[in-house]
Amino acid sequence: MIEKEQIRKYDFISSIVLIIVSCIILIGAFRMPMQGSFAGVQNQWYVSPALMPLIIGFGLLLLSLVLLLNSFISGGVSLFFQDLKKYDRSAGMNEKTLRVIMLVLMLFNYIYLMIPRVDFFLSTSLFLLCVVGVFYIEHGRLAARITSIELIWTLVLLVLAVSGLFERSRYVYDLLGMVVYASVVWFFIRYTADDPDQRRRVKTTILVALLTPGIICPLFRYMLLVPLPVEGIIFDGIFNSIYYLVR
Amino acid sequence: MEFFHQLNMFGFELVQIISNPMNIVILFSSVIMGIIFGATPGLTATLGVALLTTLTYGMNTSTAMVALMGIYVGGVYGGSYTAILVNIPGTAASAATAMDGYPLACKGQAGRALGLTTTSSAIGTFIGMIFVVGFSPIISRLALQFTSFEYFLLALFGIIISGTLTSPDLVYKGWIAGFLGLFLAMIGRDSLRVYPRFTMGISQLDGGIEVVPVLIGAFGIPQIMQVLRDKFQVGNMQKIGRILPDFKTIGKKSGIILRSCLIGVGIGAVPGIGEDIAGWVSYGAAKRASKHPERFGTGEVDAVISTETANNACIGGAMIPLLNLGVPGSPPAAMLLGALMLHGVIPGPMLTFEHPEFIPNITAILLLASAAMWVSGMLLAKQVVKVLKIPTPIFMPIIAVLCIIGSYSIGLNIFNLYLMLIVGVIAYFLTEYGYPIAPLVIGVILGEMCDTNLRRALMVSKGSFAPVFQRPVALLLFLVIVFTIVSQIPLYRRCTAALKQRLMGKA
Repeated sequence: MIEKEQIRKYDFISSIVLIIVSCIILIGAFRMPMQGSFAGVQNQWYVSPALMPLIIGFGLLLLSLVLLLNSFISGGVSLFFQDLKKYDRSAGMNEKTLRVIMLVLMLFNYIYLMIPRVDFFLSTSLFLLCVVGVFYIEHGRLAARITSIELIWTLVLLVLAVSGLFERSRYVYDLLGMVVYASVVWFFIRYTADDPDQRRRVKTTILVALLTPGIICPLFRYMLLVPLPVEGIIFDGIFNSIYYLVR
Repeated sequence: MEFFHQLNMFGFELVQIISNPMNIVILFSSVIMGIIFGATPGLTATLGVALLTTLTYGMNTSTAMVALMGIYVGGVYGGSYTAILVNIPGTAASAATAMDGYPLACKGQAGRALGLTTTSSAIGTFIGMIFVVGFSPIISRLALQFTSFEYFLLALFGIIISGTLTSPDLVYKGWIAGFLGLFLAMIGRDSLRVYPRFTMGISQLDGGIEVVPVLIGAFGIPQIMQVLRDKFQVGNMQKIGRILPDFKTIGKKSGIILRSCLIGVGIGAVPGIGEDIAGWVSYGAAKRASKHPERFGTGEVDAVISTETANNACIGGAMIPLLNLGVPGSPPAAMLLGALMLHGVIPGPMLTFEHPEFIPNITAILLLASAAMWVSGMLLAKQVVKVLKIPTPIFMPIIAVLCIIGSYSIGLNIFNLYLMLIVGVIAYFLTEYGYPIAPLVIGVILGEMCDTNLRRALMVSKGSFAPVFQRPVALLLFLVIVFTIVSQIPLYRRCTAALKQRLMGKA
């Protein structure tokens, strides 16, 4: 949690966001049938589907206004505007914020773009390779490179997803994913060539990236009978082949 | 007569669980997994229960409960490891343990401290279990008299009290979190009129939001983000030495243990507040009652015993409203409720009629879990601690993957993952800005109960709120809610303070 003084500043922002949210809830609630007939049923105000959303909307609005008022009284608002005036764009973001943004980007790419399209083993392994690589190896330039690759990969997937290109081509996304995988590993090797400690970390990262989905995927697929989101070039080609051969 | 019948069923369930070796293997594995989750800062018992829920999907209900109760009990106890050895509580529940546990470890008594916490946690869980057996039939019978008004007020009370007691900053931030949880519960077609609410035309939202992925997102994602952001790593640990149960000290401190159990069960039974508050309240009570309060904070054995007994007794307390009213007593119990629903068990007063074996089964599991926890704690503590040496940048991404595959496996729906990430990111910002997550989760869980019962009650009374004032339990709940809210208003506080001063002056 952020320090108390700073929190009052952020209370101003959160109260504004909450006021908007409560207005959206109220607008949505007022559009619901309050009285009259809906689906052949005569409605009364007390059985209306809008009743609880109205209570929630008004409750949230009231509490957000109290929060806003408190932020004014405790000096949070003036602190917010003071900080806004002092804000130096050239100073850039602090490291912690950057780490959070990187992680959210990687999670977004994994959940929204990779899982629905790329082989689950490959997408999980690639996700782990990037996250563990950035946060465990802790090599400034390497982290920047991986983030760049992740950004490009996200954009490529976004464009392909929006355009609908290759949606029916079974393994195209997997092949693209493998190219990204290979380039990440190549950067790992290139940037850590002179440092034995970093090399050891790279080995651990690759091992974790391969072993984790190597255990989780068969466990869920064959033992818990959970079909994976996409069973593509690796899972279909290797795991399923071995499983059906052995069985 | 009924007590003996319950005892008979309890014995039957106990024998049935023990007689299946697979159950014992699952029990010990889940308890050890719970200890690891509890001991790892950033991971909690709630997240442990959430992740294991997804693995128990294919199991029968009884075996699933063995696994889930095992990880719950182990998770609450496990937090004491890092609290004692590194002065960093593994979970919020063991924050109070760190106050005196770590100074004890610094004095070279880490093994003794761990032995005491293990034994007192086991006793706490066991006594909590006795309360589940003893109070369940009474609460269940009382709950049968409840009408929709009582259920609506009970759900509202759970959200308000959880918001009031768990907020780390302003109290009304807890209420805001509760309202946000209620709003999330409103998404989907309403159960009485089947009208689509806030679905934005997305067909996947018609059935409402899936509770388990939302809970995994709310508890898992913010923790992963915080640990990786802060580059958190467990520091150097104190040497453990020999772990001894120290029954002599435990025997001498039986009064403290009993008081802590009562505090733990009492706090656990209050909807929505959990083991962390039980630990602190018990710590405070032990300090007030001690002949040497000045020794607290310097390695006092009483403190360690009181906190660990209370937080584990809280488990039993949290199970009482969960099983008999369908209202979770703590965040892990909220997760457990999600798991029960997944297995087709709907907790509430009808549970004893629909599944008469269920409560004896849960109590038998609690007894076995406390025994398994004691054995694992005594024999495997040194081995478990080694897991803590795994660097968090390796451990946390693996947990993220488990959260994702776990959320997906419930319903085999990728949409659940989209929802999980959105809720997770929102929960991260809420946590950062001082909003508690527990009321949000309780709101999500109790939203449906709140909405349906309010409208059903008003339907019966034809839009009149008069029954609230005519029914004693409803009136009591209403007054408690009003008092809880009014007591937070500064004007009320000023008035009561002035009144108190005036009365003192007169005296």
